[in-house]
Amino acid sequence: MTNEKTKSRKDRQGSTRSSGRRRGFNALDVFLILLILCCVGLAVLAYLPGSGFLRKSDRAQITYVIEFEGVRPDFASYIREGDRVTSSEGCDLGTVAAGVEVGVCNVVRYDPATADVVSSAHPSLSNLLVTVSLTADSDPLNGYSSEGLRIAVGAELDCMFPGFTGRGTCISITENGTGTGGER
Amino acid sequence: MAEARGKTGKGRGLTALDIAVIIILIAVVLSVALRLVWDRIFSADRKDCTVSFEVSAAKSAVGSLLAEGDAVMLPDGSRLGTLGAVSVTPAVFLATDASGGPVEARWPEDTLVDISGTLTAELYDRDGGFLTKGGLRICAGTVIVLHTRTADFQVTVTGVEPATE
Repeated sequence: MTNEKTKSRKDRQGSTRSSGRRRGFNALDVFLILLILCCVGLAVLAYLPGSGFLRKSDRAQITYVIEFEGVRPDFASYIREGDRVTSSEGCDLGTVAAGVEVGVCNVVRYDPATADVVSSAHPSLSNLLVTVSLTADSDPLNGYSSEGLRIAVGAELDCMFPGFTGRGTCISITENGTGTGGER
Repeated sequence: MAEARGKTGKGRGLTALDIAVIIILIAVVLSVALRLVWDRIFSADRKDCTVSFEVSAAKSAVGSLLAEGDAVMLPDGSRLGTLGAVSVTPAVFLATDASGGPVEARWPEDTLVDISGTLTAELYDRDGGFLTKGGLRICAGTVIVLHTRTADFQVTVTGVEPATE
């Protein structure tokens, strides 16, 4: 009788061991770990200073002008209305909304004879003004951005058009209305 | 417990519960460490400061967009302070006069401008200097790109003064 009890206990222990050994690492374990990691990650993101996470962001339809200074005037023909504009990192910067304006590229110098500052047009280079329309993320304090890239007056943008690439400066922004979309 | 585990769970390996406990322990230790570091850095008093700055040779469009009361933001999107009085003048450049000596000349109107102004910011006094909440040192000579809602501008800080109460 005692031997039978001992035997059956040993059997049970054996089955427990084998079931424990078999348990291993399954999909549920992975899911639980990922869930915990996600919770920790979200908490960290939410409290990082300046993090855009959990911040409300609206969308706005904007039109902005990029100025390319000191460019050959014939390059204007490579930028056409409707062309898609991307940044060098691949961020969407919008679509060319109007024909390219070719402006004068002024050269400023000091004339020692008259002690005046003289401004004259560069003989072979021009400034290109490209108007771009974009549905951008809009933040009450941080202004407009597209895919994380800030669009602001004074900001330099590495732009890529289908037929032209160059570094320009945003010189004006106009908000045309609220775009489609909502919270980020 | 160790004995019990030794008897029943020998060779059982790590389970999800074990890993969860380990992660929680690591999180607790890290949060305590972070808290200590945070307290050490920011235990000093917060002070309202007046930061004076200059912007050299900015596009004239930038100068026309800066107005007193605008929120001034850091590159990470956090708020630095509020813009005070701003003065915009045609940008200065160095030229050579008839005698070959250096002379200051100004860019024509509506081209490039120099901007000088002040902003009020809540900074943290540490070792006689001032830091932003994010730990960025703001002192004379600091060069940083700041922005308002619609304009970007690179400033050189020319002075920081705690506001007098």
